[in-house]
Amino acid sequence: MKITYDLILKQAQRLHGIALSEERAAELCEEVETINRQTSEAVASLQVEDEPADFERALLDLKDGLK
Amino acid sequence: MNGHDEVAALSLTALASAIRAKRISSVEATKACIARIENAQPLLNCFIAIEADAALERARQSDEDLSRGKIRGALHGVPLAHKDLFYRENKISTCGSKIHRGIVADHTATVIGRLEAAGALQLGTLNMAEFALGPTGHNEHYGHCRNPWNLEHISGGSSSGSGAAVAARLAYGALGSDTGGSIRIPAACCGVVGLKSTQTRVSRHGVMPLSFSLDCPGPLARTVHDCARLFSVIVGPDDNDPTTAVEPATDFEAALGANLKGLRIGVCIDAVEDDTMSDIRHTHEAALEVYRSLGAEITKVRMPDANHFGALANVIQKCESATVHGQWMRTRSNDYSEQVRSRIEAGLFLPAVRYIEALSLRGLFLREFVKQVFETVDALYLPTLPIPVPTISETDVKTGNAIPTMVATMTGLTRWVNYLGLPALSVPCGFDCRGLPVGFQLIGRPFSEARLFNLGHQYQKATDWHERAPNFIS
Repeated sequence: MKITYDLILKQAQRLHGIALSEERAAELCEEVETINRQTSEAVASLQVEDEPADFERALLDLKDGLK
Repeated sequence: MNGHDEVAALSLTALASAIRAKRISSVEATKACIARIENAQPLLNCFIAIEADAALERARQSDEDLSRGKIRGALHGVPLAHKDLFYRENKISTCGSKIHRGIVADHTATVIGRLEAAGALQLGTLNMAEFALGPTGHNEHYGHCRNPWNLEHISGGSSSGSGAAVAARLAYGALGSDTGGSIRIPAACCGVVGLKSTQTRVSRHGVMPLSFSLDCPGPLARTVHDCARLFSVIVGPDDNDPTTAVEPATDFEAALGANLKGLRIGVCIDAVEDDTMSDIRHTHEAALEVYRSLGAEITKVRMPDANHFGALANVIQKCESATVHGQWMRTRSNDYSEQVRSRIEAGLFLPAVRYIEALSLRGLFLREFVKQVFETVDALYLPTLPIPVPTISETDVKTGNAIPTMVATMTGLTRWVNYLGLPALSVPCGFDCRGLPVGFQLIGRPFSEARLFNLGHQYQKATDWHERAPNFIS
C-alpha cells in the first residue's frame, strides 16, 4: 500500500504537532517511500533472536588481534 | 616563507617535541597560528570564534610550567582548534546553528578535558554544518567554509572548519565528529588525515548528539602520526558515557614502525571501477602501487552490498536526529535552515519498528561483513569520496528531494562504515586535474586502529602529499 501525502500531513499534525505544506508533505512522502523500499530487502534477513545489543557484542567478538 | 609560516608548517608531533626541547615556545607557536588565522579567516571562514587572548594566556602558562620542569602531557603547549560542538563549561557551543547560539554549556566534553589534561590549548571553535547535518561545509548561519586549495570548492563537512583549518596550517590538529563521513569527507576534500574510530571507542559525553548510535568523535591532522597522538589522548572508557568500550589503553604511536610485508589490502572492485571515478582513478592506482612497493599484497574483493548498510544507517540517523530535534522542530522550526530541517523531518514519519529493525540487524551484518571481507584481507582500501571535490555552487541544494540525492552521492562510500561501526582512516594521496585533493580510506576490523595508523604512516613515509600546503594567501 502506497504512502500518501495526506497520511504524512495527518501524522505531522496529529502525532507531532507540526504544520506542513502539501508540497512538502508530497516530498516527504517520496522520501519515506524511498527509504522504506531501500531497507525492505535488508529487513528480510532479520531473525527472531536479533536485537540491538548484539551489535556491541559483535564489535568485541570480532576485535582485531594486531599482527 | 616568514617565521610564522615556518613554525606553522611543523607537524603536531614535531611541534610537541620542539616545545619540550625548548627550541620553540608555545607562545611562538600560538602567535604563528593566530597570525595565519587573521589572514586566512576572511578567505576560508573556517572559524566560528577565535579565542586569541585565551590561547596566548594558556600558551604563556605552558611555557612557564615547562621552565619549572612541569610537562602536562603529550600535547604540552600545542595549539589546536575544534569543531564547535564540543561543550566547554560556561562557554557557548553554537553547533553551527542559530538555535544553540545562546546556550551555555554546564559541562566539558570528556575528549576536550583529556586534550587539556595532556597540555593542549584551544585557538577557537571551528565552523561546521548546522547541527552536523551536511557533507559539504555549507552553513547559512555562519557562512560557508571554503576549501584552502581552491576557494570556489567545498571544504567537505560536516567538520568543515576542522578540515580547512588543519590543511591551511592554522592549527596543528582538530577534533571533528563522524556520523556518516563527517571527519573523513572534509579530510579528503582538504588533503589531511582523519580518523573515524570503532564505534564505542571514544566518549561522546559533552559532544552534541546527531545520532547517538552512529556518532564518533575523532581527530583530523596533517599526518597519520599526528592523528595517532591525538587519538591516544582521547581514546578510552569514560564513566560519563557508559556506551564506551572498556578496552585497555594502547600506545598507537608505538605501532607505527611495523613492516607491511605480507599484509593483505583488499580493494573493492565496484568502487574503483566505477565510471564516476575516472578523473581520480589514476591517483588511487598510484597509491596502491606504493603499497605494493612496501610489500603489501593487493587483492580484489567483492563486498556485500554497501547500499543496504547505507540505507539502514540513514534510517537510524533520521529517527535519532528527529528525536534529538523533535522539541525544537515543534517550537523553533523557522530557526533551522531549510536544508537541515528537511533532512530531519523524514525521521518523524518512519515507523519505530523500522528503526529497531535497522539497529537489530547491525550485529548480524557486521559479523557477515567481517567474515566475507576480513577473513581474506587485513584492511580494505576505498576512495573516501566517489567523485572529485565539487564546487560550492554545484552542491548548493536548498530544497526538495535534490537534497537526499546530493547527500547520498557525497556519503556513498562513508556512511555504511558507520552502520557497521568499523574504524576508517582517510589519508590524502594526491590531487585531481583541477588541483583539488584526493583521499583514500583504509577500513579495518573492529578495534584495528593501530593497524590502520601503521598502514597510513608507512604510506606517508613513502610519499610527500601530506607535506604540500595550499597557497591561498597571496
